[in-house]
Amino acid sequence: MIQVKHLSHSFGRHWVLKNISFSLDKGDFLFLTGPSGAGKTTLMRVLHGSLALQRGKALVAGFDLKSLPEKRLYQLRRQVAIVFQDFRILPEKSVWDNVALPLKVRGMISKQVQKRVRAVLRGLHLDKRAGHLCREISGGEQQRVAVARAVVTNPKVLLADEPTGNLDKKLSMQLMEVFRQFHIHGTTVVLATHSEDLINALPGAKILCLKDGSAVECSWNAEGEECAY
Amino acid sequence: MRVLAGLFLQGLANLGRNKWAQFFTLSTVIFTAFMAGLFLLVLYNLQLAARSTQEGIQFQVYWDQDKPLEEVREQWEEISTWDISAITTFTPEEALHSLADSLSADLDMDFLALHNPLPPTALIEFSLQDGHGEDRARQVRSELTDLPGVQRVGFNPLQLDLARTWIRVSSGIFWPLIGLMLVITGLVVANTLKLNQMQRKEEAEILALVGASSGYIQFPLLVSGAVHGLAGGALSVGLLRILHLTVEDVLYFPPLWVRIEFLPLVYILAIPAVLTLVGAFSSFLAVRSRLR
Ligand SMILES: Nc1ncnc2c1ncn2[C@@H]1O[C@H](COP(=O)(O)OP(=O)(O)O)[C@@H](O)[C@H]1O
Ligand SMILES: [Mg+2]
Repeated sequence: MIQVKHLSHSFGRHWVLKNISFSLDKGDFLFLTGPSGAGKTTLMRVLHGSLALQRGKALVAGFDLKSLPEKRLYQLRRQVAIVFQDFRILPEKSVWDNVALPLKVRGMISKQVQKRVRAVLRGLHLDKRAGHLCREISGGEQQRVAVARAVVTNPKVLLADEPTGNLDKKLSMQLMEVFRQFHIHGTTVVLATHSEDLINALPGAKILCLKDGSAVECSWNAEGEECAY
Repeated sequence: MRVLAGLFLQGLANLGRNKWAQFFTLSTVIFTAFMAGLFLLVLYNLQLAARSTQEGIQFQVYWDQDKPLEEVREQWEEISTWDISAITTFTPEEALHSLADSLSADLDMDFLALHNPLPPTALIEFSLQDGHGEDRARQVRSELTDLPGVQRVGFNPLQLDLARTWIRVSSGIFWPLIGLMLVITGLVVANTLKLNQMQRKEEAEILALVGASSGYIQFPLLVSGAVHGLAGGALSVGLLRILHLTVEDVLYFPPLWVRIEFLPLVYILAIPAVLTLVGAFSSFLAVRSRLR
């Protein structure tokens, strides 16, 4: 489902990703971890086509990112959903409208849009907020709106960039359960996080540690904090 | 289809944003289209005039105002014996009534009758025959000019040579001017759409991120642009018609009898149609949506 080989990426002369390789099958779960500035977000954006592939190879949901022309990018994005670290939801639109957006751009009929949006909002405990404007709800709720918008299309690949950053432990675990459900039902999930609790919640998952743009061995110290990479 | 209809409505809804920019755009489109329409109108009437002079020429002869009417009448008698098709004569009084009718204004006729500003005039029709057409016309003209008491002789509808020169010049600038009009319209509309789009950059980007095709993002803009062109074009034709109604008869009095014609239907339809296309096309200038 995702194959990355010798992927490197630079902003100007600064190499942010160096020679990254990994491979995920359908239904695999990958934790992407590493300190701030390691390149997690950059990797996600490359996989989603928001940043052009510079070096190496990347196959995502059957699309070869090297040769995918910009005007066919939307086809990739209909298979690959992303939860941004900074949400990127529309503050002046309601929770409902934000979550319905990916379905609308696909031309789905409104009856079905309603059914799907309602189900997803209920699953993320957002049903009471459906009519609120996104700028009126809390950060944690906004984060869940971003997740809802990503999963509402039932994507083949789900990329989530620190989706629990604004949530307390209980909500984090609830959200993790949502991701796990998709994983079980065959969605390939890539989840960037610092949280060891999250990682421990899914023992069978793969882990990729980044440090200064390179893939490294992960290790944890006795207190359970990431220390050495 | 349903999606298309939704996007169409969204394009219309976009017109509600940036009211001032939209207003400015619409005004500019109307103004440029109006100027172009005016130019077309003048050119069209000149062409009509030139065509009518191919069959015959009308001379408008103006006498001195203080020449005794008796002497003028004698000259009218004499002219009618010349080699001409017809002569229509107007005493100052007749001219005044005719003018008042054509202006349909509430003139103070009693006052004007005493201080009539109009001279005696005559409309002489002269048919152009093969061979000695324009030479003969010139000769008649100089004979008329040489009559004692004649102040001025005009060709109808205009001085022939002048009309031809005009047509040549204006035909030369016809396409450049129409081109300029289209470019201005395109740029102004594109600029407004760009402004509109800049404020909605976030929205367009997010649409792209969740899988909208570029067509989905651009179609509403295309609709907005087309509406600008259509509305601007239609309103400018309307304004032109209003202007035309107020001036169509200003030259329709003795001895000129020139009625200004309005543009033919093809032009009337072409102006909004072309502007609609330009407006729609300008949306492509405005946004090549950044997908990355
Ligand atoms: N658009 C950009 N232009 C220049 N440098 C960037 C840009 N985005 C990220 N970077 C740099 O790339 C590095 C990795 O950033 P990022 O991928 O956001 O890391 P992480 O998500 O792991 O915290 C950082 O040093 C950051 O400053
Ligand atoms: Mg990041």
